[in-house]
Amino acid sequence: MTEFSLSSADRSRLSERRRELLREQRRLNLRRFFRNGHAVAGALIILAMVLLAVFAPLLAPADPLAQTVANRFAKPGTEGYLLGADKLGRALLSRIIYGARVSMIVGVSSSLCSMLFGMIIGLYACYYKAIDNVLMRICDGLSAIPSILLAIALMAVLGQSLVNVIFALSIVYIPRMARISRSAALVVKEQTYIEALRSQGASSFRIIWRHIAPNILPAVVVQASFNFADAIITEASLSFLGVGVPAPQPSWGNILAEGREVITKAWWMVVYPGLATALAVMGTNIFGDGLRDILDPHTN
Amino acid sequence: MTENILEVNNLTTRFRTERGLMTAVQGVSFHVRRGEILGLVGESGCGKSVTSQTIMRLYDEKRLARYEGEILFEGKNLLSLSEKQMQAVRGGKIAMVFQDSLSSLNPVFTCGDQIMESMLIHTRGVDGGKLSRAEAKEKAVEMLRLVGIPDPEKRFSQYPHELSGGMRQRVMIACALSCRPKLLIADEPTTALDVTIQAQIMELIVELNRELDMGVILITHDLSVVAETCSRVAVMYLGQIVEEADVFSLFEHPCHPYTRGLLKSIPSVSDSKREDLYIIEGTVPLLSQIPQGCRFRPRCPCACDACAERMPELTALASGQTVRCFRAAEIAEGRLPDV
Amino acid sequence: MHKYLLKRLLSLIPVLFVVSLAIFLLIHLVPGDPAAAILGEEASPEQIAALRETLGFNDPLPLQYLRWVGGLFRGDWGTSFFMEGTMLEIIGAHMIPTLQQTLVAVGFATLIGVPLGMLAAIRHGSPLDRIISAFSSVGISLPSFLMGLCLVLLISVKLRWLPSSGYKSIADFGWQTHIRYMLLPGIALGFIEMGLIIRMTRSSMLEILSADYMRMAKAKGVSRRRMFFRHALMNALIGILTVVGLSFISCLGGAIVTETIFNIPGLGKLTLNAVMRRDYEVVQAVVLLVSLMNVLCTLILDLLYALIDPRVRLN
Repeated sequence: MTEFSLSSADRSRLSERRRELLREQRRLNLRRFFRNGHAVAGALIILAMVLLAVFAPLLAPADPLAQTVANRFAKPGTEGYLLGADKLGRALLSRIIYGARVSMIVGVSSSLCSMLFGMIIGLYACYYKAIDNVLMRICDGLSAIPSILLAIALMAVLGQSLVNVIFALSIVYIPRMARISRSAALVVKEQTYIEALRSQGASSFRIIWRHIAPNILPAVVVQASFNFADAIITEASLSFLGVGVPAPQPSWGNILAEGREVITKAWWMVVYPGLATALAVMGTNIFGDGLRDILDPHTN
Repeated sequence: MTENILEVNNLTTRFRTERGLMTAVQGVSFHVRRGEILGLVGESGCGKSVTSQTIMRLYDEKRLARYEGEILFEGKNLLSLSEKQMQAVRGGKIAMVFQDSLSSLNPVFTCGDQIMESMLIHTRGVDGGKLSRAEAKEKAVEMLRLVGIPDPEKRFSQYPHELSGGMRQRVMIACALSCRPKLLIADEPTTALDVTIQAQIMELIVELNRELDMGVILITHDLSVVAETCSRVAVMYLGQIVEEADVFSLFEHPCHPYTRGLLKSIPSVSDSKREDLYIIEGTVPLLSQIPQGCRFRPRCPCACDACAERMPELTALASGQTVRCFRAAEIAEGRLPDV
Repeated sequence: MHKYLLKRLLSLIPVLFVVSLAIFLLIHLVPGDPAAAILGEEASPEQIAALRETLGFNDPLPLQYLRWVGGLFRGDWGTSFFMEGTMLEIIGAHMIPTLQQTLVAVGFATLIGVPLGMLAAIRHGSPLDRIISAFSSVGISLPSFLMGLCLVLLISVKLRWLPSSGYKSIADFGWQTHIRYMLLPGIALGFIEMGLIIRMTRSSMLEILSADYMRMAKAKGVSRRRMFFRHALMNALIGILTVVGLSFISCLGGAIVTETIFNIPGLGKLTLNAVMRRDYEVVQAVVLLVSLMNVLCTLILDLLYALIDPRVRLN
């Protein structure tokens, strides 16, 4: 029985090879991404939204909060009001652009936040049977409460503000994320290489974060993208109902709420923010679809 | 001389894929005589399953598969039949047993139900009219008994996932034989089973072949099974038949380099431990990269220039076997000892 | 089967515990003094303190929680600060319009979604498939309030075919009028679910159609019609049931938005008003009830699975 040990030269060669393989994998993924129509289209829409959101002050032609009584309900196309004005004479186009900012911030923050905490909960629940039951029962319980009701209740408790909306939505999404992380992690955990690592004495922390976590990322990222779409909808719904982002800060939801009151007189207040919302959600959903095809493909 | 129940002439099957039309099976010809077991052998991907599923016309012809050639069965060309006529043939005259019994049996219907289904479609009742459910049930239980399942009444009402792998395979065989077909196509029926169960299932197939005087096409990559059960063998490589012979000739003097390689690759217990395992050089090329001329040439130990220019045809040798190789005669006479 | 039922019922207990605890904690974290809110601005500090004592607000939280849960079992679900009658009566009255709306929504979503999804799967890859898939993508991107507003704009304001808001009960106005008023809210609520149902049905059907047992059925000589309506459909039932059940649950919660747009006196409107007015016992009761209905729905779904899928039943 010959002794088996790696010389340092072998070791460096192996890690070089490993880096090569990872680079190739990344290149392949990139290529798959660009071939996938959905992912690209969705990504473009999201990119457009993000740009709008980030450069809102530069892109919006007018101050979204500036009220001009003279121009109340200006029709779209009137001088200086490309998409018309609302009941206080505020330019709709600018308000919609700033609304994009709200939607993007809420969407990104809540899905990232829930992704982080959901993953932590899911990973540890999967690994430590003792807390698994408890954590999952809590998640089940929270998911039993319809998300919009939970969000409304949370907003009632916390008070209306942008940050609170993000917090409330994160709470709503964490249970789903935890569930997905846990099921994905369970699949990975059953693989023999995890057993091998354990028998070699690798620490639990290392196994969870170095080996299991990267392998559940595809499923988690796909879910995060769908949460993003859901967050845009839910934030808009909350603002529409008057318990989300407080006036006068523009959010697509509260613009639509105002539009509803004057729907017979000023259709543009419903159509344009509506289009923006639908486009944003559709873009994110399509992106999520494309992402799922790339990262988590089922048989085709 | 017993007549042929099935004659496949120059069959070619092409599939529409994202990369264009792929030829999975090219110019395949063989026949099956009444009551005989024909072995169809080859590695994964050589086209054996495609051939069998083409005979039954199981592929989606509108979107996926294109066929050429003819398949003669009971005097008719199966490729020219309408879908309705083909439905009468499938299950009724030609039946098929698949490899994976768990995924091939519908999980939401009982085993008995699934056996009865074929009967209710193809068989007539005692009075010549439609078969009643009661009659069908009786016959199905009989079938279960015939394939060696103990306590058939109980198994009749059970679901596929409640049975062991071996029993499920028997149920599939019962489904297939319920209408007394003239030809049974068994596509790797034992590959997914334990060795001991394998032997039982093969024994069952051989016994039923004898009792019911039914032709069998046995598709497998396991040469030992072929040696024990088949009367004739056809070896396939990359979509073509490269050698066809009766089982004795094939095992005693194979004449195609591929067949010889296959037989040499089987490790035997009596070999001394020092010898390396024999491996056929190279790997099976992708269907999109089929070599010019003889398809086996890149891996062949005795390839010559002619092999790169033209495709060899199946030629008959003195012993009665047909071989697709320019140097078959030399191999037969023993002039190429290294092959 | 009975063991399965028992197991499922037992597993409900921890979930219900978590739900009730979460709701209780949520409501009791509301800033501000509820006693002061009840008595109004002119109340003196002594009156407020006295009310707090009477209503038990000074007791430790666990005790308040147990008292509340005890009350639930006795049928005492609290009282509203603003409305007459017991909580169950109030909720009961508001539940009916919400249920009716949900039924219209789920009915619409299923009757349109399932056939379209199946059609897309059968004609996979064809232009029809692509159109249906695109349609479903649009469907899931239109939140209920957006759909509601669009429908009102198009159908009520421009075309004047259906009324733009209001609720007419069957008892008082008859079926026809009731449906006329319920159609737009139902469709608005169910549109997004329809999109989801199309997708789920399509993908589940695609998986089934390419399964080995479908090939085996073909090899037995089963006709294409029978292959679809018997072999494929039976297996698809489970997936369809799941997604219909989930839509029911979603619609129940999501009705809150359409009730606001269409002015329907249902649970959603009740909750929203209660939140605005800090009528917190109402919020507590409604959220609890809807969550309970959720849990019940999931249980019923699980039992239906066991009935349909032998693999679940016999394990």
